[in-house]
Amino acid sequence: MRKGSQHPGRLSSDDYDLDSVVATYWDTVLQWIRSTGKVRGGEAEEVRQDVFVRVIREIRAGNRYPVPIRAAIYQITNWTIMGFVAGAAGHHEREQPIGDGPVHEPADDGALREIDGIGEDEVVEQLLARLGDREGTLMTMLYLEGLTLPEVAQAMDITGNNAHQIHFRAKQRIHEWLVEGGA
Amino acid sequence: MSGIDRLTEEFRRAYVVGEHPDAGEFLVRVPEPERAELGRRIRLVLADEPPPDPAPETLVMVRAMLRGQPPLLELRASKGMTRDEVVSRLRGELGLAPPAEERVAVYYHELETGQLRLAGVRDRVFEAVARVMGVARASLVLQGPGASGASPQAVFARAEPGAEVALAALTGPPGEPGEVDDLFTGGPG
Repeated sequence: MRKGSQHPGRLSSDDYDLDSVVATYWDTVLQWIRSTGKVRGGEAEEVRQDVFVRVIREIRAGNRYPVPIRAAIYQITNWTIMGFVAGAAGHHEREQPIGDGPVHEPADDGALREIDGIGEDEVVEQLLARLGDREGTLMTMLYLEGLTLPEVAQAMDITGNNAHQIHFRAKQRIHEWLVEGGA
Repeated sequence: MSGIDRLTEEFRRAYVVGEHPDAGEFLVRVPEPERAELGRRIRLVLADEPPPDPAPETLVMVRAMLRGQPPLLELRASKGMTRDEVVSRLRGELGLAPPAEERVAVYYHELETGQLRLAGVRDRVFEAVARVMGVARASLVLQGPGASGASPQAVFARAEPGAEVALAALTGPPGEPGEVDDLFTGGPG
């Protein structure tokens, strides 16, 4: 999926084959949406479309996140579901279809302003806020700066085994937060 | 092992080997009070396990979508299927009588060209389209109208010569909407 490296990913057009990212997560994002039980039938298809409009916009813009791409995509999915559910009581401006042309931001929309106002770049801030200092440092080096885990261990002056443990705990915290809905 | 534990493991096994398990179908297998917890466990699986490689058909549809072309039309073309053939098989999969075929053709054209609001399409239709096209239901790449409500003109430029559909048929005879209309516009679910 990632060009030129086996390192776990970041959300960036420099690093990813866009076709491959979208195709790889296409099925999985639908399952994530359906697992919430909040969106039924064809509505889930519309939410999935909106998720990937956002993901594609981020990748084409070259935005970078110090988190695994999977975490970023699932968090964007959580936000999109929240927006859809909040919009169910009123009008919610849908995203434009995906294509080659520029994708415009949805119009600001009253009650949804707070949710829509969250920029995808806040994925990082919110995810890292769940982590302790050492976990945040390790994840930043690993995913933003592109170091390997042994290199991170050396930079942090800890053993490789300790780095693995911190990495594992950090991923667990992020997973737990994401599966609860990421709010 | 509890029912939730067993279903979570069943989902995990199916997911990692690329069997495209449907989270929604798993949720309805437990009592309503347990669904939130099963959903949470399923999301843990999705967060833990690397996603399986996409099917070649998914790549075909995604590449079309990223070029601004209708994914379902591109998939059909790649399989060498005519729209009449797909519509006929789709009608059969939906258990509809032959006279319904013209109306199915109109809605299928709208679905294929991104003009149909996806929220209104029943699950039965998605499942039937997936069977006809030979892909998993979750792998279907469909697009409905966006905020503008309009579909790209390029869609029409790619339509097959001689394959125009009778859009006037949508108006139909006066009276209550029929079964075909409900399948394609009566959703969600």
